[in-house]
This record gives sequence, structure tokens and C-alpha cells, in this order.
Amino acid sequence: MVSSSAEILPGTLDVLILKGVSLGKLHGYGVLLRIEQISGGALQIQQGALYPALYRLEHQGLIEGEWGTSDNNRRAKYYRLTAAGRKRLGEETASWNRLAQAIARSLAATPQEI
Amino acid sequence: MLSGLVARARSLWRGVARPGSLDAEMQEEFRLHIELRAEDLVRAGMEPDEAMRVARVEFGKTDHRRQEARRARGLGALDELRFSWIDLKLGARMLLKYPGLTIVGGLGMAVAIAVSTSFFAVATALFSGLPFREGDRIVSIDYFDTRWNDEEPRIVHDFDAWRSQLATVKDLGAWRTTQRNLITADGRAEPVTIGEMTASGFRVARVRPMFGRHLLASDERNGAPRVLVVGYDVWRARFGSDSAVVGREVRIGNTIHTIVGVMPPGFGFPLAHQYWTTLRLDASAYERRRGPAIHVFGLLAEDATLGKARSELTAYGTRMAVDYPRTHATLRARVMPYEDAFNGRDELLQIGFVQVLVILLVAVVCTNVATLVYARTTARHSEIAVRSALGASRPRIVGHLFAEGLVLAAVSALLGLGISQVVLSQTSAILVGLDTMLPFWMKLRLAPATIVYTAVIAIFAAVIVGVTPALKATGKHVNASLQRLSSGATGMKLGRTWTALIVAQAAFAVAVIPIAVHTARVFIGYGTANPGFMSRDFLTFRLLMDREDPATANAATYNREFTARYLARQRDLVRRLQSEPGLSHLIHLMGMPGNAPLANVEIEGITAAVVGTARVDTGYFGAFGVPIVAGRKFEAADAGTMAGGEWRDGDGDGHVEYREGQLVAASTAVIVNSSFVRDVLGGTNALGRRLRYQGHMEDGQSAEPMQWYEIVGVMSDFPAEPMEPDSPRAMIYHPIAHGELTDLMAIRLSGVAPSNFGGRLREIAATVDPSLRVQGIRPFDVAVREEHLAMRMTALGIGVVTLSVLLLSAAGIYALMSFTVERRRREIGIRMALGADRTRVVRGIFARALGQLAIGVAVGVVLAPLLLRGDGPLTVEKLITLAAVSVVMLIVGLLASIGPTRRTLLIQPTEALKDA
Repeated sequence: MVSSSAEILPGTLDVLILKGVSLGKLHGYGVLLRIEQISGGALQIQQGALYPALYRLEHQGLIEGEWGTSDNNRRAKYYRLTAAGRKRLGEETASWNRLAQAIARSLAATPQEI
Repeated sequence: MLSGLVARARSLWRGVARPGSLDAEMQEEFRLHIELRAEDLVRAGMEPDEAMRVARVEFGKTDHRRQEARRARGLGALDELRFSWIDLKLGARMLLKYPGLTIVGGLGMAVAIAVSTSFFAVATALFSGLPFREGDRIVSIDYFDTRWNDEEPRIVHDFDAWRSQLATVKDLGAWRTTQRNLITADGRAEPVTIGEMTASGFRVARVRPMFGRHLLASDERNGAPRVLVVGYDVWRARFGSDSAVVGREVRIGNTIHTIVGVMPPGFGFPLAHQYWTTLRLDASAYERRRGPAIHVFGLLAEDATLGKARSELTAYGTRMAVDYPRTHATLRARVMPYEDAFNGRDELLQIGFVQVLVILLVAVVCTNVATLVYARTTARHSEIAVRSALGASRPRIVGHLFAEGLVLAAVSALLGLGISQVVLSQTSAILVGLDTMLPFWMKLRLAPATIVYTAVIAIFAAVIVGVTPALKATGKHVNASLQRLSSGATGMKLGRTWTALIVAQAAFAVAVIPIAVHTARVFIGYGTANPGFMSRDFLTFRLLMDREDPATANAATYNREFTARYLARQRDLVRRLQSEPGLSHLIHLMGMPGNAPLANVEIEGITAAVVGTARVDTGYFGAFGVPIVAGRKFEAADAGTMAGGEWRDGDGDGHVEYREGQLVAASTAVIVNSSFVRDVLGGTNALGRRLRYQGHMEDGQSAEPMQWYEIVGVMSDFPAEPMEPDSPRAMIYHPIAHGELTDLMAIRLSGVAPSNFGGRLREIAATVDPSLRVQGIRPFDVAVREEHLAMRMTALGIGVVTLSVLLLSAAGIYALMSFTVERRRREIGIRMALGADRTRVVRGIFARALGQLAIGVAVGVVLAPLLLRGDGPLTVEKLITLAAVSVVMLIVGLLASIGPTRRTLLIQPTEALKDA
């Protein structure tokens, strides 16, 4: 069976979280929805797997958590990007783009180009 | 980079400091997540209950997620290492289960920790600052003489100049310490230490008096009434906490003073004073570098720093060296934080070095204990293997063993703190007994910082004792150990490292212990010598007289008059005392009996000999009841008269000393003791023999022929046994001349307790002359004990440390030896099964064990003489000690091998084969 959503490559969850949070502060579940939303539903994250990544990023000082109240008046921890996180997101995006282009170029190669 | 590190540290700290709140937050976050997800599922058409169930399943186990999250926060290692109360309880149980290890290891560590803690306490006391507001701005100013490499304290002229000229230091003051009699209205007299200080001292300290007032500038004026401020301690002890003490008159030496104030507890500025009078200085009375010795202090001006003050003082010193080259050419003016003038800041490096050494001592002792713990851990290898098979991680097991080490270290640290407390209070008591003024801000006690230090040292010790063997025990052998569990064989191995440890252990013990034993013996010899007479009946004391600082012009006259007055008053006192009931003898002493300088003498008809010489009162032998062996005692006519001795500045350096005069009309009679007759004269007749001192000039030529003396009497050896191991046995005694000034005296009492006579003695002296001070009154036995107290304490210290090293070394060797034999159990069993001869097997085991030990002992025997020679030639005693220590080590090794060997021989060969 071919799944409509793609598995996330190892190591890419962190950069996706940084991207998600960079668009506005979010609680944990919100981050998950945001990633699904910006990937057009193509990327699905395992529900519980999000948190170790969130805490790792917080531990590294790339995102910052802060307790607040959600839309329907529930206490929730909101994450937002720090300056260090913004810098890292920029670096990761550039690096990812280079890699993606390189792979796309490689895959598009024809016998004539060799 | 840096911000990342800070963020990590902050996050870690949060996890460590508030683990509960972190976990609660995670739970709350997870719950919200699951609820929101369930709501989405309900919106997608699922039943609420089913939606909740699915959301939970999708999320996974929250406990699992929590652990993952903690690891992500870098708290994983901490979680694994974390030990609980149970670990500590188990650790405590282990201490009881292995009492041998607990006692040997615990004591050894306690001693090492005590040494380290005491040293740290002394070092912190030494470098503690003044406990005043802005105490760090109080400075000390002095002159350093580069010619003599010493301070020059006679600086009244410069003090005046500094007071008026210095811009960087204000409120300049000066002080000096004097000894005077304090005589109260009831006639009680007692010598006290007085701080004569300018009034600015109290301004600088900014401490208000408890009652009355402190010294004021107006008190310094010539002609102002003399006033006295007393400290809290003497206010309580000497004045019975009387609040009406202010306004009372007391006599200090020859002068009446009015008490004007009482200072609060803990105040002792400038050093450790309890009596303060005004220091009046008149520089015009003295030449430069003459006059009273003073210390100068001041407060850094508001905008000044120590650096600026230094520049100003240096410039001043340079100017003075140009203006007054005769007196100031070699003087350097210095300014430093006040406490640095007393704490030996120059030796900071050495103190730091010793501190490192004592920490190393802890490390060495702990390594020994770690060896023991490792040997014990091997006995628990199956427990460790099973636990690790059941899923306990390595850090978890290490944490558990660390907890055991921590319990042992904590017990040792508590004991060490106790020992340290005793050492510190004893040291304080000794310093007080020696009349040493320890600055009031240096407190020899276990300050909070010291206790924190000890705690850190204990953790350090626990790491060595617990973690090192644990890492070794949980290393790569654990799996193999599990496989062999059923066979009952010892899985862990002691490789070459451990053999090397046995060798090193034995070598160290054999090399170091003999010198320690020897040193302790020497000190104990000094400390426990018996004076050999009824020393309890005697009181010794010093009779001193207050000296003023005469103006330079009058100095010679003053000194002559002072000498005459001193001698006359001393005679008066002797006369008064002779009529005192209960006093049977009064003699002058040149030194304590048993302390004698050595001299070369030539005895007529015999070549030279080295003997001790002493000058004694003609009543000396009678007072101490020394029996006459032959001839007679000294008679008054033997003594002669000393004429012209006086206090004067003999070499013109401004320091006044007592200089002996000419001996007139003395006889040539000397007395020798029994040892002299036996050792020098070979037991032949002594009476009538002549002897003279051998004087040698520096070029080896003999000086003018010395005077001949004639032996008129032989006395028994006195003191009966030498007071110090190196003191001479053979003695020559000369009489002290009449009119010769000695300040040390002894009286023998009968029917009066010496302890009750001191007060009476002081009263009598004060009525003869208020400026006549009786100081250091001690029963003779107490004086001897005090003189030797420091030595006994040192001996005790060396003894305790040596004993613990010996104990630890022995225990370490025992553990290692029994372990190496245990390891070969199976091999031996197989050999026996194959028909090997028992005797040969046993011989083989012992040969190998002793071989290792013998190498260690041999290395030690080679090294030990190098250390022993550093303390004089190798004597038979030293060699015996060395041999004894070597034998003890070998015996310990043998004993350690016996148990396991016996066990090995008891196993049936078939069992050993089955195990294989």
C-alpha cells in the first residue's frame, strides 16, 4: 500500500519544528498541526515523538517555552523561536536546499550527461 | 556557541534543581495534547470515549515519553546516576557487614580528611580579613630594610611625616605592645599585655564601645590624664562584669590610669589586645631610626587605591633615601592590606603547595581504601552480573557503589571533622599557653567554608573509593562473569596492574614508615623526658622590669640607672621572699635544667672531649636535692662578682641588650656529674683534675691559652634522664657570679601548694616596685610539659598518620594477596586433580605471593635509607625499625595467603574439574 503521507527523514523533524514555530508561537499539538498544514498534509508526525524533539530544541536554546492560556481557556505551553533558533533555521534551510537540489540534479541525470 | 552553552546549563540546572515541577509540566503538556487530539477526532466523527482511547494509543506511553523527554533535556545521565535513600541505606548496611574494611578504611580516610581539613582551616584563618566595615581599606605601612632583609619598626619620625603628608592614606595611627603590671585597688597585681595606640585606631575600626568611650585625640596631648580602655573578656574576667567600672582608677606599672570605656566582645584591634592606653610619641626626642618600635596603620582615602598608595609611599621612600642616606638608604617604604602584615602573604605559594599535598594525601589514602573496596566488590561479582543482566545500566550500578563509598566517606568526614576540631582547639590552647598573640580576626575553628571544603573532599574521596572500583568491576568482564556464574569461579581479574600495586604498596610502606617512626620517637623522647626530681614543688618565673624608651640624648644615663635599679630591686625581692613562710629555696637559673650548650674541653692528661656546660646558682644542687657523689658543692666564695654588666647599645644599632661585665674574684672551682666521670674520665678519680676550654680561631690556630679550672665536686646526673635525646650526658657546672643579672628564677616550696603561691609572689613583687613584673609563673612540671607540648603533639600527629598508613598498607596488601591466591583456586584444584603434590602446590602459591611482596619490600629497603639519612646518620635503631617494618609487611602478606590457600586445598579435585 502506498501512503499518501511521507515518512519524515531522520534529522529533519528539528528543522520542521523550527520552521513551524517561526511562523508564530504554538503549543505542542499546534506545532504538529502546523507542520501537517504547511506540508499540505504530506508530512505526518507520530503524536508522542514530537516532545523529545521540542525539549531538545529548548535545551539547546533554539526555542523558548512559556506558559499561557489557549483559545478555549486552557493552560498550555507556547513555544517561540529564539534568536539562536532563527539563525539555525536559516542555516538548516540553506543546507537543506543545497542537498535537495543536488539530489534532484542527480536523479534527473540522463546517460547523455555522463 | 556561548549562548547555547548558557541555555544548556540553565536547562540542566532547572532539571536538577526542580525535578518535580519539570515532570508536572510535562504531564500537563502531554494531557493537553491528548485532549486536543481527541477533540479533533470527535470533530471527525468519532465517539468521545473511542476518540480519547485512540488519542492515547497514538501518543504512546506517557511515562516512556517523559523519559525520552528527560534524555532530550540532557538529564539522562543524571537519571541513571541518581541514587536513592535505599542506596544509602544499603551502603550503611555494607559498612556493618564488613566491619574490618569499615574500621580500617574509615579510620584511614578520617585521619587524612582531618589533616586536610585542619590545614584548610588554618589557611582560611590566616587569610581572613578584618571584620570591620570597610576593613579591606585599612592598610599597614612599614619600612623594609633591604640590608638586613627585615622590617625597621623604629619609625617615629617617618610616622609624623606620613601623618602630615600622605594624600592616599588618612586617619594614620600607630601602636605598639608593652607588658606592664596591672594593679587594682585590692593590691592584686598581674602582668598584662597592653596595646598602646593612637586614638585613630578606634576611628579606623569604627567599633563603638560597649560602655563609656574609647581613646580620643585629646588623650594624646602631653599632660592629659592617663586613661585606659578595657576589652570585653577582661571586663568579665578581671572586673567581674561590673558596669560601674568606668571611672575607676587602676595602676599600670608606675602610673595611675582611669578606666574610660569597655569595648564589645570580639574586638581586639590592632592585634589581640584587651587593654588600650594612649600612645604618646615625641619624635623630637629621638634620632632617626631610634626610639620606640611601632606599627603604623591607616585608612585608604576615598578616591585612593592600594596601587596609588604604593606609588606615593615608594616616591616618599626614594626622597628620604636621598635626604637621609645614612639612615634611609636601604629602607623601602611599603603599604599593604592591614592583615597582610601578619599573615605571611609572601608564603601564599608554599601554603597552596602544602594544600595540594594534603589533598594528595587524601587521594593516596583513598586509593588504598579503593583497593580494599575492589577486593570486596569481587566477592559480589555475581550480584553485579545478575543485576546488570536484569537491565541495570552501568551508570546505575556505579551510582549504587558510589552511594556505598559516599556513606563510608561521610562517616569518615564526620570523624575527621571531630579530630580536626580537637586539633584546632588544642592548637589555640597551645598558642595561648605560649603567650602568642594570634590576631583576633584569625579564628582557628571549623568555619562554614571549612565544612563545605570537607564535604567536597568527602565527595572526592567517595568518587575514588566508590566509583573507581565500580568502573573496574562493571567493565567488560561483566558478561563473562555472568557466563561463568554457575561455575562459581571469580570472574574479575587482577592483572599486572594489581601486582604492580602490591609491589608499590609494600615499597611505599617500607620506604616511608621507618622515617616516620624514627621522627615520632625523637619527638616523643623530647616530650616525655622525666625531670627526675620533685618538680611539682617548684615554681619557675621570670622577673622583669618595665623599660621606657629614653630620649636618644639620655639613653646612656638611663640604661646605667636602669641596670642598677633592676639589680637592687631584684635583691630587695629576694630578701623579702627569704622571710616568706613555706619557701625553702630560691635560686637564679640561666636556663631550664637539662638544656645545655656543648663545648670542647681539654682535660689535663686526656685529649679533648665534647661535654655540656651550664652555669648554675651556688644553691642549685641543694635546691634540687642532687646527691653529692664526691667532693663538695659550690660555696659562696666560688662565685665571684660580676661588675659592670649593664643594658646598653653595644654595637650601635640602636637595639639595647644586656651585656655582661667583668668577673672579679671568682674561684676556679667547677663541678662535674657522674656521666662525666664515667664517659670522659673512664671512671677514674675526678677531684683535683684540671680542665680548660678549647678556643679555636677561625683559621684553626689556637687562641690564647684558656683558663684552667679545677674539679672540686662530683654530683649525680641531673636531670636523671636526658630531657632531650640529643642533650649531653657529661656535664661541667660553673657558678653564677654575684651581681650577674638573670631574669629566670625558681623557688622551692614546702607546705604551700605552688599553684597558690603565684598571686602572693606577684603581690610581693609589686610592693617592692610596681614596675617589677613577675611573668610566666609555672610549676616546674607544667613548665617542662609546656615546653614539650608542641613536640608531643607533633609526635602524636606523626604517630596517628603513620599508624593509619601502616594499617592501610597492611590491609591493602592483605586484600591484594588473598585476592591473587583466590584467583588461582581453580588452576590449583586442577593441578591437584592431576595428582600434584600438596606441599609443592602450597610452596608454589607462597613463592609467588612472597615473590611479589619481596620485590616491593626490596625496593622499599633501597629507598628507605635515602629518607632516613636526611635525618642524620643511619643508626642501629633506624635499621631495626626498617627491618621491623619489612618483616611486618611480609608477615601480613603471608597471613593474607594462608586463608585462601587453605580453602583451595580443601576443595575436592573432582569439583574443580567439574567447574572447569
